[in-house]
Amino acid sequence: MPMENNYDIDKHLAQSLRAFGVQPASDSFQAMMEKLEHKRRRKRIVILLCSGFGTLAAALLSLFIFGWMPMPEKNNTPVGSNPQQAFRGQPSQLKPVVPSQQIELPAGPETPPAKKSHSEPAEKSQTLSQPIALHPATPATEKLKTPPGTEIIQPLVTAINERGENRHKTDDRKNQGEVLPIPGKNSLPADEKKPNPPEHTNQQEALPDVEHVNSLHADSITHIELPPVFLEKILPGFPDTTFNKEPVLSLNTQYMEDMALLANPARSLQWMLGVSVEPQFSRFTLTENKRRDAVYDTAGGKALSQEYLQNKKQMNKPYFSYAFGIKGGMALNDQWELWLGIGMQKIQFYERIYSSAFQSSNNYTTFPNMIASAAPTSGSGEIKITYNYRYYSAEIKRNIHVHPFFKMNIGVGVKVDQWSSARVTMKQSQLSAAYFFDNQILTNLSRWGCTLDLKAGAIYDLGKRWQFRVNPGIFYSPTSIFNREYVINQRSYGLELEALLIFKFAKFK
Amino acid sequence: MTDLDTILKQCKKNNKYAQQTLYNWLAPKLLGVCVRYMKDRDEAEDVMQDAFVKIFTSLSAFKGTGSFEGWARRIAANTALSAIRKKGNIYFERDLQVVANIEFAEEDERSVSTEMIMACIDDLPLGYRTIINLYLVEEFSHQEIADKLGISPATSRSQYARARQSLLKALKLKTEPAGAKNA
Repeated sequence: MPMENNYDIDKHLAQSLRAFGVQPASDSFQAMMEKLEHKRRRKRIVILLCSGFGTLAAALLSLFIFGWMPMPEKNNTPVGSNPQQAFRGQPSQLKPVVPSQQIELPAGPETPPAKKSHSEPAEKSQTLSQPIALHPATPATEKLKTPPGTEIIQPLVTAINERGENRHKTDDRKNQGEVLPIPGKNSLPADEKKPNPPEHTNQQEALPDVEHVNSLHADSITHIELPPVFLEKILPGFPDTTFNKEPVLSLNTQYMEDMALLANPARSLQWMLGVSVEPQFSRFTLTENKRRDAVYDTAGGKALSQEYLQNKKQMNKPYFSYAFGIKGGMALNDQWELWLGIGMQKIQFYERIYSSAFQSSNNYTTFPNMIASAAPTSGSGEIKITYNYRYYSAEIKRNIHVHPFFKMNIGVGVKVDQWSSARVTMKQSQLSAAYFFDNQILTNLSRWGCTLDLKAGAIYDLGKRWQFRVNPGIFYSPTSIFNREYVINQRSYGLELEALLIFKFAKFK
Repeated sequence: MTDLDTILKQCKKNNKYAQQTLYNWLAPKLLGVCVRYMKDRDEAEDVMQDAFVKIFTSLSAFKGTGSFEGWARRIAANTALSAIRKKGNIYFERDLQVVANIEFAEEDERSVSTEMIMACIDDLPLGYRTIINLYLVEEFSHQEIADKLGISPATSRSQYARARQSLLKALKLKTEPAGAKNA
């Protein structure tokens, strides 16, 4: 009899399929736990990397916000009174060099009145025809190398100062009710007669011949020639005296200090203190130890050592470790650095235990991952090996000024490693009791070792006193982790990424 | 607090005994789910392990409002579906031929065992078995299936109809006596 309701067969199918179960393989749980552990390890690495990149990004952002952006300076002193401020304005807005012959000076009567904003002191420089390099991108070293007389900021500033003083005098006279005659011009409108700051120098007063140049915009002019006639007019000693003075540019203070160091060979010494975090991605090189105990040269011993080495090589995988440390350093001339430090390092990796046909007792050394009896049948037999050690480091570094705001360093270092403890733990705690590995302190560990490294990285100034460095590098340990008699040599090599926060003390000159 | 609650609490603390207990209880069921989706047994076991990894790492997301087994089964089904999609070999037959309705007698239904159903499901194309699993067993709606497989709800509906008929046809052939088959 056919079923009237198809839903019944559907229900039967669904129930049957839902109830369907299959027993997994016996080692399925271990395989799953390995996947779980792998995922957790990867997650830890990702978190560490993300936090590292986050820190780096935050440092760069803070540099951008607090370090690189030109901060407006509070200065109540009249611009004209300080030569360094004559061209301060907004250097980032200055445009590329404009040839002086392209400047067309408008006629006198069309000149707008001398009503200028506070940010236009540089306009006065347009009255000069001597070449002046104002572009901030021009390396200061070039400026320093320029023969005296080609850059005449100082005389220009002096001229402006004089005009500023004239202006003060004029204002004083105006305030006393005097009517000041201006050649070729009527009096300015009343609203323009109010006292201006000194940088609003009325050029008609001091420089009647070149009054028309006020109409030009200072931002478009960075290269101006001063006619000798004008220079003679404003500079009594021209060209003999004032040009011998070096121009003073108001750029980034740190940049100026750096450039001054380059120009001036006077030595400076600066002490520094830093804290470092250093994640490492490493691997072991495993070789037979030629100086091992003679027992491994016997037939049984040799077979045992070969088996052990082969087994270790099969399990040799890259591992992740990290170090923390503090270091003190001295910088000479901001170029060469010597660092001494102390820190803690932790290495942790996993191996599997296996049973050997040979007895690992009596004359043979006890190996961490080899047992004489049968290897555990349940569980993965995985053991965790942890080494902790102190290190004492010495580094020599050379700083390279790539850009005013970007410095690099390259350095070589050596670390003396003092092994403090090694621990072997069974991963499955229920199996630990059955074997002798749990919390066993290794006796075959070398007491001292050394590591060589090569680093190159970027330096970021976090203000005047603080500095952040990111130094990726490579390292190699020429010494084995184990002692001289041990059956194999186990040396590590890999990549490292040092993040270093430095406090700089005052410089001694 | 039930035993399961205690086990889950310990699992959240990364207690390996608790994890193994939970695994031993749940693994056959989840492997059953995975075997329904994947043709290959080893693949199914791999998917089941991945599902367990997800379960253990996202245990805190289980609020305890519904059945834990149902939650775990859904994770297993989704993991299997992801594996199928990753392999990219899922396709749906576009046979426009109208399928005949296959009817089951009550006595035929009684003779249909789970093994028989699984054998028939194994013979189905991957697209059909996926739709059968999703709609019939997991009880997803056609809209949800469409979203999961990137097809339209109408396609899901029509594919389910064909898949069901194919399954029933295969079951009919298995349940029929040998003489009837020959006839």
